[in-house]
Amino acid sequence: MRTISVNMKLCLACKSCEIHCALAHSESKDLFRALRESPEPRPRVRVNPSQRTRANPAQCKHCKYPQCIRACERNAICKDPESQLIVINREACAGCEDFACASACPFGAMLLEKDMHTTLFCDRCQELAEPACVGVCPTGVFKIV
Amino acid sequence: MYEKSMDELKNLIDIGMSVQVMVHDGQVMGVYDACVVEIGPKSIYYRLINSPNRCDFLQFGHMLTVLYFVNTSCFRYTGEVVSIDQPDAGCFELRDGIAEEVISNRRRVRVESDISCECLTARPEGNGSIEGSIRDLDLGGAAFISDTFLEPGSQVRLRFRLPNMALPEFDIEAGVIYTRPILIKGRKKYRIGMQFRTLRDGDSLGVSSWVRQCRERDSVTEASRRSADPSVRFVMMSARSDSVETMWDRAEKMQPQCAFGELGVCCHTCLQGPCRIDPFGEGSKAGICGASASTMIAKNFARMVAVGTSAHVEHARHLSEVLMKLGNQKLSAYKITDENKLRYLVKRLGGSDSKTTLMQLTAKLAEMVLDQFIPLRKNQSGNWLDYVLPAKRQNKLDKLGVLPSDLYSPIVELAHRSSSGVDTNPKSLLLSAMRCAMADLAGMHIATEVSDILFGTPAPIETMAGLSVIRADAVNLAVHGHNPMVGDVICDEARKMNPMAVRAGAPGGINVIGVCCAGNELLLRHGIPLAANFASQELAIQTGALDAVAVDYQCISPGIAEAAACYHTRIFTTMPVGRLPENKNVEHIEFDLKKPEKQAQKIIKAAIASFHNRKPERIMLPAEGQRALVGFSMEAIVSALSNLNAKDPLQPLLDQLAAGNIQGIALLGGCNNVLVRQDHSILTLARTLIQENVLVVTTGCSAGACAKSGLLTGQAALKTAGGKLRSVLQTLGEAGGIDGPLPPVLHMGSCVNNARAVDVACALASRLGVDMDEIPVVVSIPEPTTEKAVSIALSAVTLGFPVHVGMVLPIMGSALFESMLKEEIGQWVGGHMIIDSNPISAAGNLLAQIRSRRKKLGLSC
Repeated sequence: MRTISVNMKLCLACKSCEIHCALAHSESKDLFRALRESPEPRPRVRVNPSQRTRANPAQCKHCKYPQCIRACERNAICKDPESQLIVINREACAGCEDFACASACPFGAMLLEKDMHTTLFCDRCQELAEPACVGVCPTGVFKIV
Repeated sequence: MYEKSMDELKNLIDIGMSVQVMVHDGQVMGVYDACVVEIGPKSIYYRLINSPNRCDFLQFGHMLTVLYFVNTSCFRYTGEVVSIDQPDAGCFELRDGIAEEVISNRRRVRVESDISCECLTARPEGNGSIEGSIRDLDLGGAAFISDTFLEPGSQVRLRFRLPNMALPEFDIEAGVIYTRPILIKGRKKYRIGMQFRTLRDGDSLGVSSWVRQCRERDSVTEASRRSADPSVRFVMMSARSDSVETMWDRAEKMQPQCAFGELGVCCHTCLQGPCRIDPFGEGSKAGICGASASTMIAKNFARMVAVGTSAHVEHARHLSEVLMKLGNQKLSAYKITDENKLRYLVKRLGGSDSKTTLMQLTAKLAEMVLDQFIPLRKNQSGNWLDYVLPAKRQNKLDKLGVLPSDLYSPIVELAHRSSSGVDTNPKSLLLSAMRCAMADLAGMHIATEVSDILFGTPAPIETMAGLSVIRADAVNLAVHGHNPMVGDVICDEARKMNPMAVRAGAPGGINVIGVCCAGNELLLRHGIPLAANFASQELAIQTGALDAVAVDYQCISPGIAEAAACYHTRIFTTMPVGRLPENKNVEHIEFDLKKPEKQAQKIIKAAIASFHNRKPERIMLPAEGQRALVGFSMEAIVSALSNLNAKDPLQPLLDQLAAGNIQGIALLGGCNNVLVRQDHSILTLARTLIQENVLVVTTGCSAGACAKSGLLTGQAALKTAGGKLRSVLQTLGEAGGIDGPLPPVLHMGSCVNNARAVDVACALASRLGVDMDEIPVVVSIPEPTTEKAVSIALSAVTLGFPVHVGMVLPIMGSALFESMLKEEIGQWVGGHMIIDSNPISAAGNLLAQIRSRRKKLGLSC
């Protein structure tokens, strides 16, 4: 599994990672065409406000002891034994009213899907050579370790 | 609670969407997951999802409650079972229900943990009692956090206890809808969502008073964090449930904001861009073209100044054109009000005022003024700034090359310099920006003088300020923008059309009110009350009683179009340059100089018609407004002083300055900025400075803030001003024939009227025989927002004043440019910039500047 370390102090909240994450998860992978896709491409990383630093780029850490898996009553979230990544079974996740997984996540890294039926989180861009956020951050907040 | 009709509900739901069905028979019998399978014209079919996959428990005529979770809201739809089509497949149909929005994150109150709730009975576990803390509460239900698991479908009785609020304890019965585990600080707990059972009268009173109190407490804290204006807080709290977005809501959603832009190290002027420089020095150190951080910042800053200057210069040109047309033909709506000023200006500009009619004189002045705009003119009349500035300052600026010859060329030149690949030297860009800022001063000065000639030079007048000036019994018509050529005509026509409004059923007639600087212009000349300054313009609409707004240009937030569409308010754009996004409540009625009365009448008629479309339940008007004494133009101040010394009116002021009774003069100008608490910095600075015996003059939205807070009254002088300043104000007040002291903060007018403050400073400097950078005058722009505020700040620096700016300018990415503005510029012109977002330390810094200047002049501190 690719582990990404996030240096919050360097984040200047330009939100480039959000745009390029959404782009990496779009059909066309082209900025100008992706804007008109339906469903709209959604980012898996979110630049949240933070008390101590300017911003907190929240992204799934694929924890060793994931709280989201424990919180899900429908057993829709599990850890893929091969890649060690947390994956969600969209069929099983019919969307619970209070987003148990999202509110259990200590990092606030689970993002609510626009139609509010399920959550989205970082998949470490498996099909790309390098996760999209790592390459685009102008100050180098994300680093692969 | 918002009721939704079936049609509205149908728009929200979709086939396949999951819902929860609560079966109740006086008490909650069970909660089942289901999904919508078909939406009929009058009914909705559902299918149960999990086991039991049968509808055995249902009977015809059974009442069921279905909970829809749509976005962040929850809708409760109670209906009757009309068909159970296939009992084995678990399908049933509900009809004749009303959908109510019961839980919405926006409307739900967040209750802090100091409130606890006890669960007295629980089914099926028996009569166990559990403790927990309430998280969210609204009229339909509550969510609370507990250590114990509660089966969904359990019956509970909750006891609400409030240690800190004056509310009685009460019990309410509820059914558990869901229980799910959550982690709080690493400990496993359960979040339990409950739906209150059919409320008895007593219960509903209890819950609603709880919800009301909690909601009030929430919104009080939030509103007071957002604004220092009590009338704004009132409307904000009342209008919260309408969930119309305000500037503050949008600012909150915008967080965190991009620091590249905030530091100024983002350049998107050419098509190779956008380029960004990594301020930490790891990544890119220069833009693609090679521009360093300093170059980028200087270019961006220069462009801000050019845009700000263009606003004031265009304002001046529009007024000058009125003057020109007035000189050439008869304009029914405009006339020369201040003839003395007209004659004086013609003389100052080198013309002669003898043997000509007023009309010829007007045409002559208009020609001379319009000459000021054109580059390479025949030089038939003097340069405008020659007559504004004292000779010493002129020489200094001329040597530095920052004295503009006309008003247009510095803007165009700066635009050219900052275009790709022209001037990339931060110092020469800054010098050119300073030249542009001086053109900005000339623009403000022309706008001030010409509007005085056309509409009258202000004299002290009493009026009211705050959102409470909007009246329930009158047709409220707001004038918003900057240029008095629109507002003044509307004001005149409204007076004539008053009986029409009374006949139409508004006993108060037409109530013209001001917003922003157009408000300040009318406030000064006609005593028209001021409702709001920049940040609260949308809230004026949210009072629900503003019937129409006539806008011209500058500082018109596009958000007002959106806000107006949520209310009955009509918005009329009057200037070809100041259009708003189209929507059903926005209309463009262009002002024609020949017959502006027609357009004004049209707007007023529309306002009267709109009066009848008010929704009485949405009207929220704060109680009493603040009194304010306004209209202290340079001429008004001189005439007040001439009561003390008729021969030499400035002498008493100089005496008081020399004696230290007035330590110095501070100009508070600029806008509102919702990134900080509205008006807070302005008022803190004003209060701190007058406490230290500094006479404060104010313009623009800062003046609006002072008016709304009551600083423009004689009582404020008694309460807030320092002892020495108070006695001076008392003397001046008595001499001027006012009962009591003058206000400690003198309202000079709109933001173009900064020129009046410059006039006072120039008069002082010439009288003392020193340059402008030696007199104890400071400038503060506590909440700058627009580009105009930046050009005003730079022009004040160029005039030689220490200038405080309360928001961080986008220049901090370059240490070189920052030190240039803060220090090096002082060696060139004597003024410098102080960037400080803390108003208290900024006031200290400004006081230190005043004291050091006094020391240099040999005055006591």
